[in-house]
Amino acid sequence: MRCGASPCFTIGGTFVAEMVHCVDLWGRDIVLYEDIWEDHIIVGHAIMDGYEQYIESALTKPDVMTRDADHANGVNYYRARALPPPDDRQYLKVCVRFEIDSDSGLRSGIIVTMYPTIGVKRSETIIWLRKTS
Amino acid sequence: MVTEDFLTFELKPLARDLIDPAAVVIRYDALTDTLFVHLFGTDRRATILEMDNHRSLRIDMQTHEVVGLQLECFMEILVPRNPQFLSVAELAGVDEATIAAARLRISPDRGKQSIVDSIFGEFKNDLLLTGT
Repeated sequence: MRCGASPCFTIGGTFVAEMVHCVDLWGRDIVLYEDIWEDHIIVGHAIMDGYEQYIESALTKPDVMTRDADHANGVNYYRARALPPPDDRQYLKVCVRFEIDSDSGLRSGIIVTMYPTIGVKRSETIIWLRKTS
Repeated sequence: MVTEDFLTFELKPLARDLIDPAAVVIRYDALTDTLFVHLFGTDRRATILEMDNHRSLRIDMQTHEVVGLQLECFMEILVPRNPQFLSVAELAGVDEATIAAARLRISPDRGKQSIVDSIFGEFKNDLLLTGT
């Protein structure tokens, strides 16, 4: 449930602050919550610590978007060379789960994980590919 | 040799004798149903090399060493498929309800296969049992 004008949500009765809020290529709101960042993403992928500012570009200017192989509501965003050295030769993969917002009826997404990866997972279905000039 | 789009590198073989069990960190993330295995502690920066739909290697891109594993859909798919992972789930602190639900998805044949594998593992150096 969205809590007024402040950038936070309530989950299980506790307030959770938004860390990143942006709109993807298809006009969908995507949010990263602070607790997911600290308690899930950084715990599993410590390499992401300090890379918060690069998340938005992966969502707004991805090179590849895929449908997740295991979650019907999951979309993965890949952006090549999104991170600074020494991690600049990989893709940044951002995994988003979409839901229909009960208030607005619009489709919105929550970032559940992200990490640098060598390539696009072969079992995922490509749904969008950046055109090369 | 690993070649992915714009990146090519030689992956160093993982030497099992270099792994100190005391340094291994195993964590489970319930939000993404992912098991993280940090073979050399949690300090190593790791990039993910996805081997198949659910199994990935954690690679230190400075040294090209495998420093861990990442198993996705761990309780939903991998544990029912590999019942021997149940003990890993317990070690990783997966809650009892999730473990119980995974147990229910283990087919009798999978359960028996797991027992046979365990027996072969226990007696692998004895002459009584042969085969891989």
